[in-house]
Amino acid sequence: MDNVWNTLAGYLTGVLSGFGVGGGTLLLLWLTLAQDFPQQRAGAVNLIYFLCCALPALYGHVKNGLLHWQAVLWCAAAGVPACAAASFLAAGMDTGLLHRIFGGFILLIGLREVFAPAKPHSPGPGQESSSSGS
Amino acid sequence: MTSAKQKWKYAATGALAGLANGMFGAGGGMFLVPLLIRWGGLSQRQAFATSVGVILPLSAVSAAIYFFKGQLDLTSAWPYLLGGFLGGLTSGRIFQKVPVVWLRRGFGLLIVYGGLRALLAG
Repeated sequence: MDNVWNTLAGYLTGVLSGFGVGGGTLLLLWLTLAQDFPQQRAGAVNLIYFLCCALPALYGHVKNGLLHWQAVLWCAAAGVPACAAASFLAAGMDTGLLHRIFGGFILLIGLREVFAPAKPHSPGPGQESSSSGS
Repeated sequence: MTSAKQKWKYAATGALAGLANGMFGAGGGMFLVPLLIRWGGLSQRQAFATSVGVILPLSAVSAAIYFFKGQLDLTSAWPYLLGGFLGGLTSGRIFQKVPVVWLRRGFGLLIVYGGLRALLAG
């Protein structure tokens, strides 16, 4: 029965992850608060889960012309080494401290999401209509 | 054509997302989406979709590091992987029809609750 609930949690957060609205963060909360996973183990499950849901979601986004390829390229070029360095750092850290840092971090993000203006900032020159990168 | 300044902005955005994803195993998208809109000038819907494309390689790198450090237990992960795959399929199909602003609001409330609990429980 647990597996049914866990698959359902994966599905619901997977829909949000595919939208890019933080399903992974919610799954992390489910794993640590409802399933008592330690922070690092929950983070590892969450990463591999994201690979499974991002690929089919991206297929749909690419088909709909929503991916900005230049942004993907440059963000990933800087993000991959930063991510690798932070992963090594996190693996050697105290779990309790990491959990508190994570709590403070997502609290700030949540408040920002709730109080953000409904209308996005005005787009930069020539960007709004571009659907596949310049 | 993307200007050099624009490329640096994308790179800074990606680096912040990479630090969050590597450190916490999640949360990179929450840097990417607002900064891709603010700095990159992408539409909100484009920013959400593009963030998924950026986080995919970041997650692959982090997952490989966690795996080699022996912290990846796939036997307990399979229900989430199956659910996540099906959820990803669904989101790719219905994304265009969903009002993104309300998704962000709902997500924000849930995350405030989760953040408070994680902070207090430690």
